[in-house]
Amino acid sequence: MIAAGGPCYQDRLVRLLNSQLSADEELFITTHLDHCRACREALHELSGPSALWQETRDVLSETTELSNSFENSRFQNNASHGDTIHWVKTLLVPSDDPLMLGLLDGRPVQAIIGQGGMGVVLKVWDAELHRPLAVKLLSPMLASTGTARQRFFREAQAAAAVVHPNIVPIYTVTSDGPLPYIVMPLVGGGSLQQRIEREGPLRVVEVLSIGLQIAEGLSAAHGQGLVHRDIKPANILLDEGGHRVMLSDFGLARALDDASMTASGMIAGTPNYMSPEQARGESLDARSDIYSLGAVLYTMATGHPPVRGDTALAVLRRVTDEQPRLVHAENETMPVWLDHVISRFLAKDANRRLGSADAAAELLRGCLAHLRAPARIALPAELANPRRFLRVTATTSVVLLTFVSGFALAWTTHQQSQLPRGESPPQAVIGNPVRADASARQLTNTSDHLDSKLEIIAKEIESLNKELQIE
Amino acid sequence: MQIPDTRQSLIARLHDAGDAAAWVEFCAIYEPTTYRMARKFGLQDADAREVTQEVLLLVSRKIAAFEIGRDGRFRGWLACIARNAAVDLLRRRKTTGVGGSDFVRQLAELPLNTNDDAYAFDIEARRQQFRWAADQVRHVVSEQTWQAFWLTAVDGNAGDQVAKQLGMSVGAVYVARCRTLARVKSLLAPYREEER
Repeated sequence: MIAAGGPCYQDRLVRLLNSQLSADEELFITTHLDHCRACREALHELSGPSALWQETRDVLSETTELSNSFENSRFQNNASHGDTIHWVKTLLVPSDDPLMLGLLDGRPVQAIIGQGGMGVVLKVWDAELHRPLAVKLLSPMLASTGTARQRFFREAQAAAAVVHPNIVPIYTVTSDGPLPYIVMPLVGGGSLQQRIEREGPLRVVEVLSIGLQIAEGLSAAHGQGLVHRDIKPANILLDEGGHRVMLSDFGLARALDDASMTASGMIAGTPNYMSPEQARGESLDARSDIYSLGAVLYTMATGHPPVRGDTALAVLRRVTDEQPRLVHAENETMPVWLDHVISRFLAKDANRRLGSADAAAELLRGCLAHLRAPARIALPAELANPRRFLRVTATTSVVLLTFVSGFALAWTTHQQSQLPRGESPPQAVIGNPVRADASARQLTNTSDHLDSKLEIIAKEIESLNKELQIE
Repeated sequence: MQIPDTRQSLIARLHDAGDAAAWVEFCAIYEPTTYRMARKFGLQDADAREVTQEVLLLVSRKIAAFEIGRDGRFRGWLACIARNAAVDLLRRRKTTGVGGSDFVRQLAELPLNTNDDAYAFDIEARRQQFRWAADQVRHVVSEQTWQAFWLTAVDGNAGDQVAKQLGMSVGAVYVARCRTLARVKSLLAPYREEER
């Protein structure tokens, strides 16, 4: 159409790339490109240098095995059960029964029931005692790593040493086969995680009674010098009736005296339920579990963990830096005092938390007693103090805020009434009208923000007063 | 699609723990980069992931120390911290060993060259930046546009052939593929500025 040598519509090609042409113009140029080689070449060069086109081919045409294995398993293990069945089956002796996956040391494997960071959990039938068992199999990838193998056995030893109704018992540990595994009873009611996902927030009685059982299990573990380090709803199992709670997966548990591991400051665990000291990679004691238990209480009461984020790192930063929203603000059906209970677990500073799992159990037991007979039994006395403190703070805030907002309003009005008269405002204070306006806006914004906080506080005062009347 | 206009705003967002968007971008590039690097060093999956978390955590701690306005080379600075942390951690793993496979032990006996490792990390990061940018663009263009781009630019098919295959005009195929690349380029620009 046009002699070779240069494009016909250089400037319009630039705007075409940036999607800045009108529909008519775009159609015109696109049709022109159907047959104009010079303009095509110009467009090609405008969109990127030849090195970038080369890079496109190089990078996008390769799909490496490494990249796939990473994308499949980022922080959680998302690999599908289908993949797992494949490698699990290769380890089993084939069975005649088509409903079985195969035999593991003579025991028929019925299904793969779970998958965690460390391996898979199989449902196995115990023919002698006529009951189902859960077998936790270390993943082959980890079995070849020294640290993981050690950690796996440490889990077994640690958990086996603690005998308590709220801790899943360990029947046997087998380490002579190609893959080490642990045999445990099969707990029928699924995990607390599944329950919350299915039903949303629980009732306050259940929040407290499940919390109490976890605290009692923890108390037994802590008594043996064992910190669980990974308390989260997925590790809390429920029996078929949903009443008895059992703590499982001591996968990250370490004996307190195991200094070598603690000193490495390695981050391992689910960030949403991690204590701030754990998120910072510092050394831990039993109080870290107290924090995680608080995060579980919060999750049961609201349906979601106290801190959330798009990435594990965002969560980690929030665990250390941010205060979670009040439970009562997230779920109005929860009593206001539950926030005082949970705040005793979720203090960022370990020294300001409940000192032990025993103390936690006692507090939860007291609350539960109050809930069952509110007229006769008062809330535990230790909750009374923060309440009085809160009331004083709230009242002071009301007075202060009224004063501040009033002042801000007066100041703004003052400025507006002053400026039109043509008097120059005092330089040291305001500078110029534009800035004065901005300051006033800022103050208004601040007082808006404070107003909304004030509203929450006022609600709290109201319900506190109601409570006091009941008592 | 939100493209951070200036690095200044990205830093501001990073200092604001409430906005994870900047982290999403950083992690999307440096998590896989560090992981692949660790695997190339011969670490097992679990160990490689451990190193990856450690590197990102180190960077997150140092970000608080990065001063806004300090000559603004933010992404370059991040890349540098991540690269140094990864190379350092991986070297330590190599020399102390993790008690793992024979392969790791054999690697530990090889002579080390930090410059080569840092260079390898940069290459890996560059590739991941590209993958990340392409992935972002893929989500904001139509499937037909993406196909026109992929079939011509990656698979190397001729424009008229692809036009027939996708039921588009030849001109439209050219527009689609060039616009797509231009978008990838604009996302990569902040990472590639240092090179000029």
